[in-house]
Amino acid sequence: MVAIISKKRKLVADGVFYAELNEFFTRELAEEGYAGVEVRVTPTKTEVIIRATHTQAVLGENGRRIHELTSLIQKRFKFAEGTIVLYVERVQERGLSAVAQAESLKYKLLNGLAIRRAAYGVVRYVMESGAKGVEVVISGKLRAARAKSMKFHDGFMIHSGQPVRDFIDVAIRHVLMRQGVLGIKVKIMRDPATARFGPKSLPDYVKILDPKEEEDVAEPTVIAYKQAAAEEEAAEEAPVEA
Amino acid sequence: MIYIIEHMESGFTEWVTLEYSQIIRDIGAQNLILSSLPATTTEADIPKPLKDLGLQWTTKEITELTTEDFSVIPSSGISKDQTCLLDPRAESDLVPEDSEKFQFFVFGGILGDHPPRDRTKELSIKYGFEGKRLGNKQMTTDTAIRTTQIIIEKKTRFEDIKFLDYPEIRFSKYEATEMPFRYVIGEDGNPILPQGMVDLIKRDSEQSIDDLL
Repeated sequence: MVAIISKKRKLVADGVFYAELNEFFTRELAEEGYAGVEVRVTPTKTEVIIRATHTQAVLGENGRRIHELTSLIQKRFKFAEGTIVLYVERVQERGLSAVAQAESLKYKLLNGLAIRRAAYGVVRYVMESGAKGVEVVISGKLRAARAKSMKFHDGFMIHSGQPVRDFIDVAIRHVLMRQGVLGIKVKIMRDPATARFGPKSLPDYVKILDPKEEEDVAEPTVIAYKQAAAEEEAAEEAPVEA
Repeated sequence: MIYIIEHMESGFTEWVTLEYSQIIRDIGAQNLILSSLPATTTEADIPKPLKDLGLQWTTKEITELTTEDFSVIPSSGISKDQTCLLDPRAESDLVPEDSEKFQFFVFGGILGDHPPRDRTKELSIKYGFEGKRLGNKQMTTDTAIRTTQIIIEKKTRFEDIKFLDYPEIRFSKYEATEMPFRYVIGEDGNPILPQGMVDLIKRDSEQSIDDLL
């Protein structure tokens, strides 16, 4: 069997494995709209599920590309043949994935689109995909101008607290140019009502219900259950008191 | 008080032109000298707005300037102990009392990066003037001259000047631009920017990467 490692070390090693995979795919599959990876360990295999927007490009001709990636990972991490499998999954709602949008914005800029057009394009697409709010920030020094930060946003955005961890997706990318670097930050807040698990609204959301229709208040009545017994008791009591 | 800007960018871009125009409007054309322009510069290379405002410019270095170049320079030339370089990395701050010691103030004409890359260091190495600081945040060239003028000529201490750091200029409900610099607040409570600068900032977002290379 595999060498026995302590639980703590194993968890750390899993984390490092995930981090290295994520970084590798971010650099390798940037053009294919890579948006995240998930690792599932089954008794016989380790499944690596890649989420991307252009799944066809990741698969390659006849599955060539994904074959290459599998063997790369298998050799790097010294997996036995066949114990590691790679799957590609299409990102549902790529308009709500900050990573996908940041990469798309980066490529738009590198292809020579004006900054404002590119940013507004992303903002509009994200809002059309049903997000609650979006914020795009492009920072850096343009030639013949001073350094500045250009911000584009639409909708509603929160910045602090637990809801940030529940509903907000952030991605930062660097556009490397000859003269320096442009920084891209994309922040997307998804609609809490569409959440499949977890809270379905912001913590301070209060829903006020309509008041119910008033029922008529009935006249107070007395219902006597045992007429005869009551009369007897009353009759017994009376002579005693007297 | 003579303010000298050592030109450190290549050519005159719109940004530089707007800032220098504002400086001339603030302090007067005779009190500003633009030095160390490339040796091949001629009248034709100077942008029209600056020419119309009477910009005094020279291809010479600061220490080479004499009364023959500009009448405001004393016959003894510019001596090192009367000259102060405004440098964010200097060790001491500029105070109103420095007005007795310094007659000439030198600034780097730099369109800065954020975080700054300390291009002013090239000036301190080149000339060796005494350095004074204007606080710890980067300022635009016109703000630096304005602040120096307030400290030296209006005898106000740096701590008493009202500044706004990193203002965000809002263009519409969806768009804003944050300038990572310190600005002086004017009488209307807003940061003082050169005339025409807000429009230029707005137009900058219409640039693309091709304009950057």
